[in-house]
Amino acid sequence: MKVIEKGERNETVLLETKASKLTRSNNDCDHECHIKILGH
Amino acid sequence: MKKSKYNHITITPEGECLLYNVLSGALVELDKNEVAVYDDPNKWEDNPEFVEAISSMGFIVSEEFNEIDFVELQNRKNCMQSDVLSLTIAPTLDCMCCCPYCFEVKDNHSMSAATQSAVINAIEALIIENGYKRLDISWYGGEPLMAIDVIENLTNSLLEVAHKYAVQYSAYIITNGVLLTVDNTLRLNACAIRAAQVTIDGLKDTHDSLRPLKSGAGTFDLILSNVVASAPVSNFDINIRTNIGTDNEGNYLALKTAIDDLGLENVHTYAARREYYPHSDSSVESTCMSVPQFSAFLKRNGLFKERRQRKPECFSCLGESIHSFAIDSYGNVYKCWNEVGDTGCSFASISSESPTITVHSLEKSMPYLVTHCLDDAECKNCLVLPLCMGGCIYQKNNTGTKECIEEKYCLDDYVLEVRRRRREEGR
Repeated sequence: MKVIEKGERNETVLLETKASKLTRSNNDCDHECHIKILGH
Repeated sequence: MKKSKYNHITITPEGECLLYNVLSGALVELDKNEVAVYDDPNKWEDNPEFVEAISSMGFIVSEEFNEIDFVELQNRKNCMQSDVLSLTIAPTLDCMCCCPYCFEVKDNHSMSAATQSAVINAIEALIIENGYKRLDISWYGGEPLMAIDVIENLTNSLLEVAHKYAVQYSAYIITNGVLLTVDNTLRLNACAIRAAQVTIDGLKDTHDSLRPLKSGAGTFDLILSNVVASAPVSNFDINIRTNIGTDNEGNYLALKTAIDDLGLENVHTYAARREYYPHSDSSVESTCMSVPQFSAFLKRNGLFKERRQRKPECFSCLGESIHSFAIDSYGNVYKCWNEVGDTGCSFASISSESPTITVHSLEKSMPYLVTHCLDDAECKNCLVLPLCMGGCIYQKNNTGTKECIEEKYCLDDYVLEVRRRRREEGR
């Protein structure tokens, strides 16, 4: 098996309770290039 | 143990088998033997290492694990918890253009000094109260460059506040590009604005018919010359968005090629779906593509690679978050930037009479904060639910219809794009 992307372990939702892990900003509902600005 | 309901198999053109989990975001390539084991739960007991490996990535879950409940848990968490304050600010509601599909309520008002001061006080109060670590600002309008002095004044104060509380600051502007001269770009750059979204809706004739000035004159030549002149400004990206409808879809690749051929390193293009909103001109509705049509357009033209890649965040948009809202030039506060200027949608206000935001119509924020997307049987059972969470809330609230995401209609292309990007990153 070749792992291309490990993904997020389900358990982390209970362990990481402070910092936001969202990669979105308020202007990228459909503004794809915003990803370049935030460096995600 | 059982297979996750969010597993999706993609067979590549070369015949490889990719297994993707839409909830965890894990992606693996399986050989024939592994596919045989994965397919048949009776073989799992004899292959503990393989089963443990794919279980750790969410492809196999315990029999009792309710994945839809887990999606709901993640959604609740993301709506409530954040160390980022995300704000959209319209320094003016005025605009020199009269694009037929524009959904905004126009007004030639710009933010007064008193409102600017009240906005800064309110933001500082929110940072103190919530301990934010990052402040994201989107300058919006109207046309925000018509009030660039307001942007400068507010930025000076915002940077002071950010520095005082050790908050990371980032800013972005959405502009029609008419006033994006080199001088203004340098002023924006001095305001810590690192990128602009500029809309060009096709080649000259097409764009000029879709994005005219109020006088009726076209804007293509002016915007393109501004983009070319401003592109060399360092640390400033220009993202050219094209709102695709049935009347300009044939123009997009030619426009993209023309812009790419300019060789401007900081200039990027992307296609977005034109949408019809309550305040748009009624003639626009018939030119809008459905999401499946737009997905087919992206697929046909190989455009998935230029799109922001959605992540399985169990989150629809920042309208769902209590840490995000939009502010108009009067200090009216909205949950969605599509509502800016439509004061009947405002749920709160900022004024010099109060040191923080005054919520006057909590009920207007509730449809965003509590979306009930899992009450919809189609959404609840949808494979791409973790990527979408019910889609655009504004659209749903205003038209009573839901719009699914493009990925629902071309998930294989999405998966192939995930792999392409990881390969590019050297993984």
